[in-house]
Amino acid sequence: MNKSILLIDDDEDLREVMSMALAAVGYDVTDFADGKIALAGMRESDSSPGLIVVDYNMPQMDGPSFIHKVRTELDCDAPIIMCSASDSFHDLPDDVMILQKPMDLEELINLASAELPL
Amino acid sequence: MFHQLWFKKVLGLFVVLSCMAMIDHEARPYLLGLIAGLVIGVYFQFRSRKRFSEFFAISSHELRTPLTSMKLQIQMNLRSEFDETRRQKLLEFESQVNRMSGFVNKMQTEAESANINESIYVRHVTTLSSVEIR
Repeated sequence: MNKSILLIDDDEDLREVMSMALAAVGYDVTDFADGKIALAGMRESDSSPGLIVVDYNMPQMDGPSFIHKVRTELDCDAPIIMCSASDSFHDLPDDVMILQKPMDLEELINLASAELPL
Repeated sequence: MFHQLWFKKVLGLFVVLSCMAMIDHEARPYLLGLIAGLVIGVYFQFRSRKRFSEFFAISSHELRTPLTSMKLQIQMNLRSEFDETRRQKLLEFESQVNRMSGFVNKMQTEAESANINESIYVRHVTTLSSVEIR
């Protein structure tokens, strides 16, 4: 069963702690600092992730642009959780789940396991 | 310069002098001066509010990511910490981070409502200071 999560966030500390938290409950987490690098990583990879957790604001490629490319260019239909420090969201598909920062550990894990059961 | 107190005082004086001058028979130019003064005053007040609103929105956004990082780290540590004293300390930290999160969310709400004024700003900064001191 696919237990892999692709985590993309430009904040190193947050990426590290989220990665640790998701790995602690049993997921295989691969993390990237930006949407552009993550896309390159996904193109090189043989398998697609079971779940994508992505930040909204990132320097090179933001969350919505990344999601658009994942859905159209890579044809990946993995569920997506968008973590955001903003209150307003633009250009997001309806099926994207939104997790508002600062979220609780329980919220993150519950949403991840709802989308990708262990 | 336009946000300085002295500028506002000068502007106020200008308005008062204009009103006094209106008593005289040659009131028209002073009336125009009064209106211009009021328009300028309202404009700078609006600009000032807009800047406060932007400041609140940006600060709120910038604080949310480090707060998330702290919150998740504390909650992760709580999951593996069985020493009661350390657990209590972590719970205190968690409570303080939650207070900060609530404050940051409130800042965002204030920024969105666009009803920012200096008294609200001062009240929030005071709250922030008290959280930091504790």
